[in-house]
Amino acid sequence: MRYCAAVAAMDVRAIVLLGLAGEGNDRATPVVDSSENFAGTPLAVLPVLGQPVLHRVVDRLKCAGVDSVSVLSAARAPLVDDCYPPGVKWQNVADTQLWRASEEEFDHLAHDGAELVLVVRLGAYAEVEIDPLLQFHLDQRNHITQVVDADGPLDFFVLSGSRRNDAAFLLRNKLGKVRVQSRSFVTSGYVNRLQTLADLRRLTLDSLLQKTSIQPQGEQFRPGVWVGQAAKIEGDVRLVAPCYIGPFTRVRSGSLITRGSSLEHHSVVDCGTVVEASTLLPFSYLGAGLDLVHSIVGSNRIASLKHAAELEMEDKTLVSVVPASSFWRTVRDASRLVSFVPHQMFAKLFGERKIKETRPCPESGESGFDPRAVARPVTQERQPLTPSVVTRMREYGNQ
Amino acid sequence: METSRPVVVKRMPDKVNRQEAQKFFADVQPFVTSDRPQLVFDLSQVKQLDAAGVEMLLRCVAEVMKRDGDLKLASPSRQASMVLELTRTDRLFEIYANSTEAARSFSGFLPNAMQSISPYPKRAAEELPMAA
Repeated sequence: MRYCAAVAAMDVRAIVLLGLAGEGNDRATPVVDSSENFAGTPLAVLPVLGQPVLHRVVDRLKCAGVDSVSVLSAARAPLVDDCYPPGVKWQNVADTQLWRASEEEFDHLAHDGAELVLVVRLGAYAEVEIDPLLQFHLDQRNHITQVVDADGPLDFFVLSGSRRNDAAFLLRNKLGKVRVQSRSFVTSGYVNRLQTLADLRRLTLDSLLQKTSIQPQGEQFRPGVWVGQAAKIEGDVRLVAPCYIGPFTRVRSGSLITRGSSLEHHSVVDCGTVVEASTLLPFSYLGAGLDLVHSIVGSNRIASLKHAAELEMEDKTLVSVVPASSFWRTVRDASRLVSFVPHQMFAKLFGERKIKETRPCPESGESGFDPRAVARPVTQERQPLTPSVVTRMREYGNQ
Repeated sequence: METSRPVVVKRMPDKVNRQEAQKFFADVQPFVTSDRPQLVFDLSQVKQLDAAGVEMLLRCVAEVMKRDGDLKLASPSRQASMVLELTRTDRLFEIYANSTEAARSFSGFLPNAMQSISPYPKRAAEELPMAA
């Protein structure tokens, strides 16, 4: 129950819609066919600094005094199944049935006694001021109030529980039309439309820079550097603020995490890798000696914001998926260790020796000068061309 | 105009995994092991490039540079650019927007190209030798 100036106590509930495309797309299309997803997972389900946007929206609604929250999801992805927020009524529905199901849910809530129902499509992450919004709705005597910001309307509505026909019209038109025009509520809070992966990165960075009310899940162990529980960071790793290291993450030796990068839970960054202005989604492995810049990694994929391209990686040494089960993670680590030790022993015993033994030439005299060597053809031994050598050659030319 | 050493332009396949990389290396090996080779790899068709492909490129550039030649990359696809950046190999190669530019870049520093420098730079550039 919430208390407003106009009414002693009001029953306010919320319906959150997940998994359908928003503005700029056909509203009937599932989110997997629009830009609002990554590897088939809606952006609202992907974690931002330790918690999915969906959880944060639900938490905001509950903190504002909303009595119950119903989530209707048309999204199908592994991360969605791990994303059920506690204390909400979750309902999985087919893409084509989402609007019908939301209409039925509204009827059910209204029948249960809800006086006001918030309908939110995710979509956008909007820090809407709930109290002023409800007060505005009551003061204006609106049937439906839509929230708008400086960039236009948002899929965030307040509906009066008694106005079932208006609600049905709105939901049948996929939040695109209202039966009776009314004044919109202009929010001044933070809004991120979460339409593209660049928006997701911007939300992460804005949150690290504390432009939003999102708090990273973890301990701030240095100004601007948050580390989640049980994260393993090896000694010579450089963490440059602002950045976020999620729980159970492993950052191996010689890595650099910088410029608002976020490593979500159970991700692994291997030795010597640079992660710059990028996000590693949960259970992602990033190989050794790589340079990840302006990208999002997850589900064996890299999405580059710089090149506006997404690439599925088949090479497990570059990018792969960490098993979700701790048992399989242990088995995988153990098998790697078992294969590593004999490999190193074999390399030591039979591999090419790095330091060549220098033997004194038996024919040369004490002075070490061999006059006959002048007549011999010179065999020029070049050093092996490693990338660092090639870089040096590039810098100084091959003159 | 006297033609300098030939520039070999080779288009890479759309998928460069271990098998394809070995096959491609076998194809280009005669050019790579020639005297002062001048090679351009066209990456416009590359949709998938893995660590084996990158290793093959490094092997090629190493062999070419041993022989005082050069290997340049042309018109990399977005996917190829992403992998080259990710593996930090983009900085080892000169990368051009297309094969023609890459091939033309070889003639820029040749001694016979230097002879063709005239007070009219535009015309001189048109007359630069290029063999493909």
